[in-house]
Amino acid sequence: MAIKKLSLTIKKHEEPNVVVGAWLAQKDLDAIEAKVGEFVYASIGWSGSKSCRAKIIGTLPENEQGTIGLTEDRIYEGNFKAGEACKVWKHTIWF
Amino acid sequence: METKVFTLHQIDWVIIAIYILVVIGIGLFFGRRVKNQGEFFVASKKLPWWICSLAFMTVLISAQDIVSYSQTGYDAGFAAFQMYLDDCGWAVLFLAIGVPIYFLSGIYSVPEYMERRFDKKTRVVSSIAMLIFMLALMSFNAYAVGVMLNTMFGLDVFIGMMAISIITAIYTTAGGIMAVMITDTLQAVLIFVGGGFIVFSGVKMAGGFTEMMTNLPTGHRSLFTPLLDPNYPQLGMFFGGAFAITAAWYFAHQGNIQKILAARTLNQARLVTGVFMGILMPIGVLFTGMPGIILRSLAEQGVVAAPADTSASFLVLVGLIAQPGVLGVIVAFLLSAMMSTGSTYINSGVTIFVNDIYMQIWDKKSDKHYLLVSRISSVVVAVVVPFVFAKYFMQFDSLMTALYSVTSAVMPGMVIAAILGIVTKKIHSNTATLVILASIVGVMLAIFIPDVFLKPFCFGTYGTPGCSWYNSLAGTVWALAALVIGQLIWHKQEKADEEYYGMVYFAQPSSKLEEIYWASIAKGGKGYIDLSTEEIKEIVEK
Repeated sequence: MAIKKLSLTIKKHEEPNVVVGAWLAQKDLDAIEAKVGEFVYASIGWSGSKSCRAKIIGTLPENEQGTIGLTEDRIYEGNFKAGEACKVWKHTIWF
Repeated sequence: METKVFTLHQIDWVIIAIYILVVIGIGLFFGRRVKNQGEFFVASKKLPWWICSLAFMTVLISAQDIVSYSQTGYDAGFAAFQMYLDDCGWAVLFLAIGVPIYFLSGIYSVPEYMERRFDKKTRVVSSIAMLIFMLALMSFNAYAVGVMLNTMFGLDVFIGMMAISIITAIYTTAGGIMAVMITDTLQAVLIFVGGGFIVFSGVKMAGGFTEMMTNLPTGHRSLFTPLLDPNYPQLGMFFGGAFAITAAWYFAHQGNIQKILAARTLNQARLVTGVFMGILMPIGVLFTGMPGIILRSLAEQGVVAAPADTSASFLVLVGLIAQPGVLGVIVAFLLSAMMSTGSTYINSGVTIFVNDIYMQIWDKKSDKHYLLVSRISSVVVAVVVPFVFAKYFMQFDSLMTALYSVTSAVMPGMVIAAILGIVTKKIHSNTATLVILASIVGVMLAIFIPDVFLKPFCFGTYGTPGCSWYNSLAGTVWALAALVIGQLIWHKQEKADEEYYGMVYFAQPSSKLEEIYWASIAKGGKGYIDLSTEEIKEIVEK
């Protein structure tokens, strides 16, 4: 059971009253076979200590392909910094 | 007691020093990323399944298991392994209903589940049972470490306990469960390398597997001891092992459950249990009981003198086969087994204390406050508690019997309440509380007034060294009696149907369990417990 992963650059993305949020370009969503409303998992390294889960709230413009927008609470939860590259995949009961 | 069995060379000390520094370094490194109790207790469900599986296994291969199962292997042979057979049934049941309920609910501890499923008073008595269980396990591990260090270096048992407890406390206190589990991964590798070397070399020294088996006393080749054996009674081991300790290992062992709760997804949590039971446990148990069996065969062949104290069986074998350099790796393997289990018990004991006792009294404090309390408690639990229990353990000739007299004994009520709580809505909170309390009281009476409260459960073997195995039968009978009485008095369903959603496996379709979980995650929660009953009802009944 293989899972499709993408390497994306983290950036902060805020919308009012939204937590646990993630935004990806439509092409990136298609590449990991995810849709708005589903969950993604973002991770740096092997240990899991720098990682978090987030719900896909919407899409980013096409010119922002290769990046993932995360709400501030997700950046804090994941121990991330904006500008870092992370692996992203569709978060299901398996992965 | 001065019973040094081998001498370490310079190269061995270097290997051991590097190992200890690496473990502490990992703890301190990952400790920087621990921000709240969620990360300290269950790593915020972030860890990959393979780390969780290896960490799960390291709890099994502990100092206490190596010392006590090797001793049993020497004294009774393959019967040392029989309790591992019980895992098959309990693990499958746990995979099917226990993992989904615990994982998706978002709890940190079993008593926390007990409060959600039953009520506050059930949580209080569960916390007492769990604390006795976890602290006894932790203390026994520390005591076994003391016994080992005494045998290895002639170090005083209490000083050895203290030294390892302090080292373990440093990285557990700094990094919480994440540091515990990541260091466990390194320790698991050492356990496989060191344990594999000992068993392989030992069997080779005994002339190969067939020769080793041929030279064992006849009774040692059987997986089962006589039903009413004075030292290892089959009947008592069944009640203590199969019904109490193994069931508790899955359904009520806070240390193990935390490792499953740290997995990223529900199916990865199931995979952790499956990989542990199907692959890692069968390999790992070879490292605990086999050294004693191998040494017994060597003693029967006249290759080595029978050890004066059979609790030193494992180390006597190590002294026979290890060379300088290799000995350092083996001692590092032993330290791995000691510290990986010790750190798990420290962290889980603290989880129960902080999550289920401290936070219930002093609520609404900041994450930073609770994290500080967790860290201070880790030090106290690691350094002070083991000495209290060690006094009790020292009165037993058999370490395995000493361990199970307490650990398997306090758990029957807890196991019955947890499993029935997960399976059915029909158990009332008063009944669950009564069952757990009856089990604890019954066992305490059996331990402290054995003439009256243990003797009737010993099938005529009272007074033999093995009769402590029946403590758990006493606890089970008391718990079952309480269950029957409770069901007769409180036989009506206690709460509305919707209050069981997410808490009782059969209260809703299993697909709804996952829906509730994801709805909670989307709001920044951990699982059902962060949603209101109305929100859960809406999801289940839509």
